[in-house]
Amino acid sequence: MEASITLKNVSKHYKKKYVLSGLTVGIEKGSTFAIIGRNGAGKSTLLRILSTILEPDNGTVYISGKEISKNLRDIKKIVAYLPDHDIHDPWLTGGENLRKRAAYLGIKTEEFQEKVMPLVEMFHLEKELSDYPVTYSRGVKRRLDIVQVLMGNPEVIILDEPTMGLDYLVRTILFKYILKHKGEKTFVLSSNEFSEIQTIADRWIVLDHGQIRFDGTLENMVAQIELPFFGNIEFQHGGSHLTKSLEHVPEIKEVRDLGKTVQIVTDNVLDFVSVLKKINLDDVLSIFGSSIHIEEFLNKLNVDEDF
Amino acid sequence: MENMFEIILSEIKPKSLRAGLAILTNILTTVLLYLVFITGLGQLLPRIQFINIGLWILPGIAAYIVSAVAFNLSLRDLYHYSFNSGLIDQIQSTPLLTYQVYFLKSLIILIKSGGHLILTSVVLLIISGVRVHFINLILFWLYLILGLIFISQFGVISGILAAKLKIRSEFVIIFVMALFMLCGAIVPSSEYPGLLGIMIRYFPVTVLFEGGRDLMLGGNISGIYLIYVAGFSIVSYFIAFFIFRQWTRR
Repeated sequence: MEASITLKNVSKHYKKKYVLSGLTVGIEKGSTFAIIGRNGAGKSTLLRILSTILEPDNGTVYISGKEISKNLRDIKKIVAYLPDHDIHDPWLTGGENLRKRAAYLGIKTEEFQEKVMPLVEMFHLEKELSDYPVTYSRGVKRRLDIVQVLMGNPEVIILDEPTMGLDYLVRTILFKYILKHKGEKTFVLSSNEFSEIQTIADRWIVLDHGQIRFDGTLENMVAQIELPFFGNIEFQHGGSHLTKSLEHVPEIKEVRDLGKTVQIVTDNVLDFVSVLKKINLDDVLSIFGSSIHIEEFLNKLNVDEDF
Repeated sequence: MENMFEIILSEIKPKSLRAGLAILTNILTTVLLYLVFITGLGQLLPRIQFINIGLWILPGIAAYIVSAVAFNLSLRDLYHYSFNSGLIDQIQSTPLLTYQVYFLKSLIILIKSGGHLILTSVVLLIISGVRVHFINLILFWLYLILGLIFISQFGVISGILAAKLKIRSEFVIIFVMALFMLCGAIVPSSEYPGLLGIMIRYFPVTVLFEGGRDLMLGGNISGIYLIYVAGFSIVSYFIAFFIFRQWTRR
């Protein structure tokens, strides 16, 4: 598959401390690529390098086969970047911000209606355009910034924590947009929500102290590492009565009392199902579980140095 | 930059209330300085044998106000951007290169300051009743605009340094306003004694203010003044751009 982005031995340091250290990775054209990692892992620095805003200290970055440092003008035309912070002017209304950005992107006044308004409608911003962002909620600010990023119809879209502050509805709209343009545009995003990565990313890397600790797909991950299953049982009147009685059940590795919810850690989903059979479910409100928990996965990676 | 006109328009498109307040503030400031330095001081100065005080101070007031506007616009702009890092990302993540972004920002500040220059000069001429040759007025405006390039670059550098050193921009403004006042806006630099006089005389702002006065009142200017201001504007533009580029890469 043709590469959209290629990083070769990319490093970046701040004040003698390496934030990124010798990263080499390729991202396929038209794919959705995710970067995960704890705070300070180097995710935002990597995204800023890809968005051409930051220059690496060492190494080379290619986008659409062109080296960034030698083809900055051409590459800036096809890349859009949403940082993890606001990118609008609080002294301008939402509409004025969009018109300002449109002018910078070369969208003519007469094209604004045709190129920008469909995105405004998609992200339900019509009513907010005449207000100043200071009156917006966190989610509306993020929607305004997402529209700013998407309005130039870029080929490569870099999104740093794109769903931060978004409600479920808008999150779904953004995911639909990403899925709709799969194969056509390349998306690179960072997130701490593993459920999001599972939903939309074709491939992902785990960054830890500026180095890639995992590069692959969900299937690779599950095949290479044993992950415990986390089952959450929510009780109407709290589950503390259950915690003690479950302590000696052989399938259970750990029981965590979280107030109304009891979290049961087992080796796999089948063990959790067998635990469920031993519990009186009369007082239960809901049961949900996941075998992939980002924190546990990162811990596992850190423990297993050879991984 | 095919879209330069659209960008400038989107940045300076006046909002009725904001533009109205800017115009009103400019007029009030011009009138207040006129009252202090021409109406008030004009009563005293004849006693120290100074003639044509009104005519002499008029270009100084216009140059002082417009330099203050240009400096403040660029300083506040950069200061504002320093504490809203997303604003610079909003522009940096467009197809424009850093030198184009910087050129546009400088041009927009120059256009806004130029508007204030014309307004201040016209208000001063109306309230004072002084008549100057139209060509002299145009030359005065052009020379001042050339000098406003370095004044605004000075604002950019001060804004970045103030933000880096966590100094409140108000303190920088107070200092610079006093400095501008010292640079021949009201009192000619030749009146300052010794080393202070030499330092003030060759300070670029003094050369701008006094050269502007020569143009407005007499229609001519020393070629050295012109070269000095043009050279200083060009050099300061590149120095400020270099600092801006480093700052945006942080």
